[in-house]
Amino acid sequence: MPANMNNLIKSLKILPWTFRQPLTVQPKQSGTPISDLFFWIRNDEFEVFFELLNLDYLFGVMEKTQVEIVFFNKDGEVFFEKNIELLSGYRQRLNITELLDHGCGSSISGDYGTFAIFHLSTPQIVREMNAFIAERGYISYRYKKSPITMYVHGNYDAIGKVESGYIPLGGASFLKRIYNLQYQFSPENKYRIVLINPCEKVKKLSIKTTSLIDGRKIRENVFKINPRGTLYLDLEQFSEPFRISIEGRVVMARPIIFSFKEREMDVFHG
Amino acid sequence: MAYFPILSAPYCQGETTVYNFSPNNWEVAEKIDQYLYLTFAYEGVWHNLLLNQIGYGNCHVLSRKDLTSNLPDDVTPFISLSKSFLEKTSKELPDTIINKTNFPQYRSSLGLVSQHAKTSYQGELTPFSSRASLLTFAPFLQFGNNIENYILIVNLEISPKKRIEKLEIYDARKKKLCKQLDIYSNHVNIISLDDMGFNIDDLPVIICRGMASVPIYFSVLDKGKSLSLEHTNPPASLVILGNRFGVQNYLKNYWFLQCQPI
Repeated sequence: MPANMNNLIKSLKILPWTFRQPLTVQPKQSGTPISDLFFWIRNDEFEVFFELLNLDYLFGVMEKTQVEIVFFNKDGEVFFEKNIELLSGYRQRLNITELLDHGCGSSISGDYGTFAIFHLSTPQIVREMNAFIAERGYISYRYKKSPITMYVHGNYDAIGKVESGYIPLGGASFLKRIYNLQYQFSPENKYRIVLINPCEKVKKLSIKTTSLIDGRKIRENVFKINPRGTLYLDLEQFSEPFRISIEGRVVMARPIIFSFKEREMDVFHG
Repeated sequence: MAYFPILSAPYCQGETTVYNFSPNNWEVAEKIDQYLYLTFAYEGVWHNLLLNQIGYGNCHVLSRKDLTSNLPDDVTPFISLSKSFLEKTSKELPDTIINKTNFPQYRSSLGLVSQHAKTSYQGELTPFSSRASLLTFAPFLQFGNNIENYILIVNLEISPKKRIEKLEIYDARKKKLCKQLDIYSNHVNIISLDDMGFNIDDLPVIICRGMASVPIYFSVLDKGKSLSLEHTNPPASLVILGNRFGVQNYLKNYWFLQCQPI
């Protein structure tokens, strides 16, 4: 069969999965700042930090600039917003835990959720290239007062800031998609999973556990997550290595995984 | 073609886990066994050693110490999956016939293991053009007693020939050159970030005008008691949609001009 015909057949096969289903919905207005939804948690175990970068400075723009940080609770509701001035050419580490403990006052809502960082100006070159400035940077977690922190980068272009508020930009899927984490979960570790809904509507996601010994399904649980909302829970431990899959009508339901062994913690995108 | 390096870092062994199952259910992937290959550049050619065959749905963990009998000293091992046999040696990096996905791409767990701790990230490596370059900003330095910071510069190219280029490290505010050293193609280059006098408010900028790579930042406490690992994305990831690579070119041109090794 000619290569062109092969390619045509392949394209037609995946059309139900790609037609009008982008990974990130394009904002209608040029200059809309976009951010990932970064996971925050407030308890005795963790301290949370974020590395603010002056993106204007990186593009050669020297005027003063700010970011807006917006906090959402686990149901996706806004409970705190603050503008922060960026330094030019410096590293600027934001202590999220301190901001929640001392900056929010009584408005703090719950023990975990997400936050977004919006850069309030867009360099001219970015507009000229029809692109959107996006914060997908680096959050870090200190576990049980460890001297070092663990980093993970942003993964979704999840949310945009517009005049009327904050719009989820995650792509929804017509059909149920399965995201198979290419990761081997070990019986020696404990794990927690974070799933965030970057879509406009409530999403039902199932987490399926499969044995890596014989391929059998071990467990399946179903959860509903509000738009901009967060699911954070312990993964059940098993006596054999396993992998997990996430199924739902989201273009890519990629989780954050926390892995624990004794006093050590690691964090990564699955 | 996707390759998975086995990393190296002080006080650690590299450990890479490769998976023979698709990361999603909708991009076409054949559910077949695949061959597991070890590839490394040595004496001007690529050497491709068949290690194993992995059944569909399974995975395989490889550690540097498992491969010492197969590897010359000071080469970086790259692991790959292939549906077909590869030539034992080749003048170009084999374009392996594999299941290919985009959302996401096939990934492996690229890890480092010490006596006390383990850290990893999900990643893959496709060969860089020999005409590409590197620009990365490094807000990852950690400070405290017995904490060390490194950058692992990981490069892979089609040609097995050893290329040497200059890596330059600057302070983003002063645009002053802090360090300059050689890095090698097809290799995990390990560079300390602690010997330039950076403090917690400084933002290092790392440039290589003649070689692209994946920059991976590694911090270690007490010679391996605790480990931290994360890679940066290319400058194109500061924006989405539109002409991202036009934006990336702009950033590289700007910073390459601003930062000059005098």
